[in-house]
Amino acid sequence: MTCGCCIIPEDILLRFASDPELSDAARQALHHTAEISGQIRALRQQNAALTLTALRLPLPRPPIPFPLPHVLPAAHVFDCHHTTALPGVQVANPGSSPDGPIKRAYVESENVAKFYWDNFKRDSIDGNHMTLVSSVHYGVKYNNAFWNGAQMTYGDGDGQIFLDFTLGEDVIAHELTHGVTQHSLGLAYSGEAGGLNESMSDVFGSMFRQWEKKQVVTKADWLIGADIMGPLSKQKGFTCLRDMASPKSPHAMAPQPDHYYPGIGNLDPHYSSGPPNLAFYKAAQAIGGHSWEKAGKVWYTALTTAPPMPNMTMSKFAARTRKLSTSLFPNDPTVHNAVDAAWTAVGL
Amino acid sequence: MREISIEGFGGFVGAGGPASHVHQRGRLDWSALSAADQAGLDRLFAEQARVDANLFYRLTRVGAGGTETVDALPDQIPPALLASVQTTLD
Ligand SMILES: [Zn+2]
Repeated sequence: MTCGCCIIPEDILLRFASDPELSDAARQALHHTAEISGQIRALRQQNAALTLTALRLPLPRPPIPFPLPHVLPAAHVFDCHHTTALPGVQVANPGSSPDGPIKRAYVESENVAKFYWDNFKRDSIDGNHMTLVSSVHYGVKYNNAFWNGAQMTYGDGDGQIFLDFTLGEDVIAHELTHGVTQHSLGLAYSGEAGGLNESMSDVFGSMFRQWEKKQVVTKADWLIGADIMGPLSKQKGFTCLRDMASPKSPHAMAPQPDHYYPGIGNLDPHYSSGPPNLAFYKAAQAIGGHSWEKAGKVWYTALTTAPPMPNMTMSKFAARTRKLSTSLFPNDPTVHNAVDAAWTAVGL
Repeated sequence: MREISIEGFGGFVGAGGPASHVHQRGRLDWSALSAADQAGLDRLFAEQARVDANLFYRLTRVGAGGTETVDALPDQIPPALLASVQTTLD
């Protein structure tokens, strides 16, 4: 029989596995499938922890060769067909699919990979050409998108509060950046590190959206989630989920603090990411031009050139960017001054 | 066990934060779950494993012995319970 372990829930498999109408062989096969399904889930949960452990090992790492012209990593798209079983069914030729979310998940994942390569010479999520896996049509009218330690997942939205999550370029870059963070500083999802983790995803999500539009910092809107706001949300005056330039703004569906304070790390990371988001906005504004050219380079280097630090504090990350702003741009003191003033302004 | 409630946190939306206007909550009667789902949830509540994930759900169940809470990943949650989640704006 064909193994359908990826799309049939475990309880249904187990129910069939005890169906007396089926032959012994079929029942045994179903039992094995259910077992494998559970094991796959356990494996996926271990993936993030394993990445961190591997990165911590003192193994010599040969420099990754940069093939020129660069070949983008492969991007695979799976269709959950409105179930919540991941990854779903793989779609052939997603780049030419008539299905909007399938095509966008493919095209924008590849564009995010190109953004990371063109600007930072990073080859995919792991820096080593990892295949980008996305699942779309997750659940029924599912109002979220997430990274599960191994892949990106997108809901269709309910059409009222949120639209299809693949409509946001920043959504796709945000989720993929959680993967980049997992494979670099390995920040946790709680404490001050959790706020930094969320901020990295918003920073690179917004930067990618600006890069796609070729916008300079003064033309960018610095909104997170603006393209997935549904009619009901707009009717209530919400233009975005978060506003990097004005974290406390009432037009943000989830307003954030704009100043650091001890204890901020005890709160939800989507809340505590406000001060580091604002610091990036302020630094990029003061430097001017394209956010990815100078401020982005400082933030990217701070994220990717240290051993994993899952519990990194915000002040430690700020200190790294202050130092890197000088070492990366020794002949341009405006970069250091902008980064230094930005962190000071948010209390770090 | 009488009922089980569920609240979503994290993901891109980051619902349920201190100042957030968006919430993702649901609930089911315990009896509406299959025996296999109930057994799976019993294991989750007994294990009380720590979750460090981009997206998680907080499950709370009420029974004769009081209230119990556990955090879980979406693929540890019965689809019927996950499907009960409704997004609201305040
Ligand atoms: Zn996030």
